Amino acid sequence: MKKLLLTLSLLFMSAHADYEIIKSKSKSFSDENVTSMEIMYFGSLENYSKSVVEIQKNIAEKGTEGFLNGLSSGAESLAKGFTKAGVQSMGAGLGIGIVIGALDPFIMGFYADQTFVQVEKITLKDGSIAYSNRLFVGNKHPSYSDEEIKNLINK
Amino acid sequence: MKTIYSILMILTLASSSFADTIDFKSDKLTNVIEIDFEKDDNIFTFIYDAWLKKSAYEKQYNQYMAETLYAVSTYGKQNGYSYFAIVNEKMNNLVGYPINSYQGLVQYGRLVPIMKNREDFNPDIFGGNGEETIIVNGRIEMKVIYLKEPIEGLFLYNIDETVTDTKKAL
Repeated sequence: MKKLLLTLSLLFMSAHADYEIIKSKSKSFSDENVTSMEIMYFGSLENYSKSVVEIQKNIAEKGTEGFLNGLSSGAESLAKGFTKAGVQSMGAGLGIGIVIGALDPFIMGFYADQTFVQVEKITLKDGSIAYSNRLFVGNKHPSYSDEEIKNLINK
Repeated sequence: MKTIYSILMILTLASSSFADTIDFKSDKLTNVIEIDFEKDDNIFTFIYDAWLKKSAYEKQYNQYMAETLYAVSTYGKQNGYSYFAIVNEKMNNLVGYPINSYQGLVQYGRLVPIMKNREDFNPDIFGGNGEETIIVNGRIEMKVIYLKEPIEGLFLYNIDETVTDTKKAL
């Protein structure tokens, strides 16, 4: 019964289209080349941005080896999903000051109520790593629950 | 550590070798695109000199965005870059902003009709009041940083893909 109600509510929501889901990839890859997928983050876009900024600040202050020390739990779990090469490239980016000047996390200027993001780490057949994300922007009253957003993002 | 210095050197050297001007008129872009370069931060600001009107918002938004991104990506390509990040304050790819394609920005533009205050439509909806998104006071002002290499874990615009995608839309 619960499942039926959830399905019906999803159908109702999609008919009214009070949300958009925007999918992005860090590089092109086809689904056939994916061997595994791990969800690195699911939550508000604002908290995601704060976590990225926190990681970048730690890399700048503590270097690429010790940057995990002192991270908040949310940022730590996200940071653990990055490869060593990824962390090094973030460090290089910080090195030329391109991020330092823009470290304040953005606050979404949308009128919409909810902006959630799911970030995924993808392992491809050739062993390389890619990242993908699904950005959810919704405007519903009362707001979508986290569970509803997760279902919409992954349906 | 050696890897970091190598990447750092590539990025730094590359940032000082930009062509001074570019002629976008030959690319049949409908409006002048001004380029302003803030050398201290390696930030280029592309200003699309046309105003988004409420009556034709979606059509104009898609066209103007294609032309702006085409200018941004061809300029980067001509100067030997492979990636760029939009770094406007509220849409900063370098601090995790997740959209990194023309198609994504088009979809982003479609968000307008689902905004709760759509009856009070304001072309500044993505920025407004001088806030730092890509639409400032009704026109596109896109701040970008060019990169030779991707930064893993961040969502950056691939220049070749952006040139291809936007050229189809021009």
